[in-house]
Amino acid sequence: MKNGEFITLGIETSCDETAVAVVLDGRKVLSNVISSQIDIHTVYGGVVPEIASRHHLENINAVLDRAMEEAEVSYDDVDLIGVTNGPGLIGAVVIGVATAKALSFAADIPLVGVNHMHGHVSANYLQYPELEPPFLSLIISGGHTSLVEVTDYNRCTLIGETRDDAAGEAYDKVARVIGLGYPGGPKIDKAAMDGDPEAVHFKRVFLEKGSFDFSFSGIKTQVINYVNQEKMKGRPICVPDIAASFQQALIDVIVQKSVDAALKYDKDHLVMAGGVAANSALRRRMEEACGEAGLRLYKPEPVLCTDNGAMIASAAYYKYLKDGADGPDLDAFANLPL
Amino acid sequence: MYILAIDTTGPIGSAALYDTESGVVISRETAENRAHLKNLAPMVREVTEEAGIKKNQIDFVAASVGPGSYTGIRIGVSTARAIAQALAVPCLRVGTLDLFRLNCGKGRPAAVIFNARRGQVYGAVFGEDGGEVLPPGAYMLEDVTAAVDDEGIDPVFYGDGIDAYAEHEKYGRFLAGRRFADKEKRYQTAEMTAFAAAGMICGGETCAVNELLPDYMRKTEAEQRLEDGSLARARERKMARFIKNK
Repeated sequence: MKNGEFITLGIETSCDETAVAVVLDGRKVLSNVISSQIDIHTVYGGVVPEIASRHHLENINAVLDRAMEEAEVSYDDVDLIGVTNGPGLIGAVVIGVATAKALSFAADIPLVGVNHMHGHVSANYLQYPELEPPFLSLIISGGHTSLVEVTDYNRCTLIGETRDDAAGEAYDKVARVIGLGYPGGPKIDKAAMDGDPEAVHFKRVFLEKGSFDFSFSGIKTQVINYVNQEKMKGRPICVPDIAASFQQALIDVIVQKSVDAALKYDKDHLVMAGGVAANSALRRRMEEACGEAGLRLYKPEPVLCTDNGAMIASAAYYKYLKDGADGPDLDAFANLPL
Repeated sequence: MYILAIDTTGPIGSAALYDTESGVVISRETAENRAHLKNLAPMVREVTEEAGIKKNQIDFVAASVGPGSYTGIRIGVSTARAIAQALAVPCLRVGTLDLFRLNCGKGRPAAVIFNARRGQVYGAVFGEDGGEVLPPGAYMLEDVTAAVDDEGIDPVFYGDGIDAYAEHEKYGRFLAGRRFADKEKRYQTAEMTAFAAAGMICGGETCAVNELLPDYMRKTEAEQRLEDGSLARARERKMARFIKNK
């Protein structure tokens, strides 16, 4: 406690961001330090788990120090430690969990393990003080593309998810094929700004009627086919046009299904979460569609969309209020259901 | 003074609290497979409680930093780092193969082999006085046994490399007729880490949290493949196949 306010330390190491944050009362960000490894993994064309794990270990204590300093708190002030304990790259998740458990022991602070996906949803509580469950959420990232009904803090019901690639994976693969490289999401988003989304028609994959599942592997294949055809005909490919057209095809499906799901489940609020929620074209199109459907859209700032410790602190705070602390035998999991 | 020591680099995960004045060591260990992360913090808590000391009475935190299982190493090292950070105490970076020097004695040179698969080991050979016959490193099993034979010694073998290779169809012959440590003495432990750390404290070999780093002894496979060019070649082949199939 500091000045009567509850202080949560949030730790996140499930992929390639080493992140620690300090959050007040589950809602107000005091510090949010993110050490990204993107530059390290770029030469490999994607995240290499063993390299990510090695870097997490080397970075985490300095990131922790910085988060504490920027928030101007000491371990005596901290009331709760929240840590992502899955899902994610197991070797990477382990670093955060081991660190959190050790701090919990040494500084006598209660500990809560947080589902990374709940963390993404909770990023919205940091940006929108008035937002409370229930609502419908689109969780969209490099590892996940899911529509969930958020019934309470840290309580979600899955209503649809990708059957193959996550949206972020599709971006990465297409970016590789058209020579933009890693990470695909931001690179395609940027290239698409100079392209015509109608230039190439890629089929939108909606699956069977009424389904809220996604499939993105087909769009990727369409892009590859298109690139090959053009090359065989000796025509130069226009990267911005392909980027814009691919992105439009993907976004059309995502936006349509998200809005349909919110309406079907009788929700007024649609909440975006996850790294791909930082995509500018997706945010723009979602805003328009929600406006037309009479839905209120919540979309966190890009820094809260990508992996960060603040979202984990927020989720941990609400989980602790409801379920109490976890024991010192908290474990890490590559797969952890919602 | 009190040393908290941790070893999760091998099949046994353990924590120990060593009171250097009284010489008393309290330790806990677990052989539960793939459960070092789950069990380490409870074991650390138990040894501290059983010793009846407050956490801020811990003077040093020692970690066995490898070689060994990559994830195992990181569980121990990141736990040690965070405890030392929160308590603001110095660390000790203890090489895991070096732990077995303490087992040397008259008529008992030591050879250590940790399983690194496909006939590979992390290994070392120490003479009766603990001196290096073969320095700690990444080797083929036969390199370690050749060093032993060249030196003309009959050391006691330690490490999970015994379990991996003694009965192995292809590599078993290198270990035929050797002396193996009993199962209870075969593996690295936090207690050994604590004893080695105590010696290092006397030698002034403490380090700060950010210097408490693993000793993996190998680059990651991806780094090796990037350097030797095989990563780029594999990626080209994959892309060519990908495009041809469409």
